[in-house]
Amino acid sequence: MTTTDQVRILNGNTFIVSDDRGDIEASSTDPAGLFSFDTRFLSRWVLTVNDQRLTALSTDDLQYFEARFFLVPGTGTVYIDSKQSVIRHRTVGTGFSDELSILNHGEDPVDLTVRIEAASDFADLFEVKDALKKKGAYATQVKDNKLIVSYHRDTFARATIISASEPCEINQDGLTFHIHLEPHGSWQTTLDVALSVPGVRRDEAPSILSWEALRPVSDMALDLQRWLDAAPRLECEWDPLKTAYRRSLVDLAALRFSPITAGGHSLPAAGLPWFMTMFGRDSIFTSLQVLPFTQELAATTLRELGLRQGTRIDDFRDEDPGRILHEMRYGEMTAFEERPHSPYYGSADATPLYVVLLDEYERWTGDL
Amino acid sequence: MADTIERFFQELEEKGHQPLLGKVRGTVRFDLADGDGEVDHWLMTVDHGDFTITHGEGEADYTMRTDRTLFEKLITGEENAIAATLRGALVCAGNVELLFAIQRIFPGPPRARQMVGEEMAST
Repeated sequence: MTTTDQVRILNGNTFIVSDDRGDIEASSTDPAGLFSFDTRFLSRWVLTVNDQRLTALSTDDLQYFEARFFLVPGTGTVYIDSKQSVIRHRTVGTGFSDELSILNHGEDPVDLTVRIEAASDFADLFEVKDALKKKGAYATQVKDNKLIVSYHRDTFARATIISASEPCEINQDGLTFHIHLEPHGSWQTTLDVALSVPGVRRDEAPSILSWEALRPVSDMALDLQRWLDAAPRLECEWDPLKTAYRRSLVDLAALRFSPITAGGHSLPAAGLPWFMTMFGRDSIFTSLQVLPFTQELAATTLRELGLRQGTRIDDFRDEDPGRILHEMRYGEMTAFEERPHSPYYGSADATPLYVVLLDEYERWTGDL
Repeated sequence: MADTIERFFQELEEKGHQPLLGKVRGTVRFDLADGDGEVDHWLMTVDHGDFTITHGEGEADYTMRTDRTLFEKLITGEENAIAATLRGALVCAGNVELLFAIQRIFPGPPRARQMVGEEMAST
């Protein structure tokens, strides 16, 4: 499929790239999936009704973190006459949720088998680009009404935990619902996909293998509203300018990334969805350009890049004392030093640009 | 090999003020497990670059848990603390900011240091 049919929604470095039905079928040529911390947590996520794939009637990109897919069962080429329709409402937070609604428009009751197939290859973002082989082992487990798909390589562990709000049969490949719909009846369930990234925890009691996912889902809509409220207001008689200004603020909100050390504050990432991470040059430039509208991004950028300033000589990472980082990554290849991004410092301009931003930030804010 | 770690902490305390931690305040505990599962604790209190180090348990703002073998490699620059955290070989709890601060005192890879030494000797 072409990238124009792809639907992408994101929250920081957690993002989903699916087709226009909301399905994920990753292949070496199709970089689809649910990604977080530079790891693919779902490479397959396919919805069927009575063993039939669905067809998209329309797709709404509601917000950068939310999409709605209007679907009908069947994959006819010209016209599909279906008595049922399916609405899939997807929200990404820490992991994501799919609210599934199935409506029966017919005069007769129906029995349907609704199935969601799920699998993950846990590919590193770098592996997706270069189609490399995995070195660890996979496991799938059904436990406490949850499907747990996991990957291990030595101490490195990642897991995807899938559950539903309605009763279902769970096996190693997915979840199956047997539902009965009365005439003009409807049925709903919420599919929840949680991610487990052990190793770093904010609370006490460290445990290397914790199945606890990173929860809860943050209130993305409230967060966006707060962001818009905090920005300067633009009043003018020409509406297109107001629209463009608002759109820019929302796009900037989508570009925000919150490193684990930032206490919930954000800095601008380099680009969505594949470059949702800290980049010296990109984070600094964007912070600099938006200083008249928001100072928070610059403050966080300066603080977080400063915290990671180079202190030693390391040829692998191109680290030198005083140097500002180029790029930070969190995936398996970085973890095993097959890539130098922990962080990587090889950039000529990040360090001088840091000084420029520091000066401009002080001029704009007086904050020392 | 137990001495390597003890020597590291001893030398750190003897060196005194560490400018790389000049803005850092907090208590870090290192929980180092040996092959038999015995855990050795080191408690380090940093106050704007000055250290107090004690061999033993205590309350900390941040704990770094790993095995002795990996920690020995961290303090000799053979392993990198951030990469080790990403692969779960080093487990953090508490204020993660202190991980980024504390890892500054770990040296760079031995080979790079050696090359710099050669470069400086040849100029």
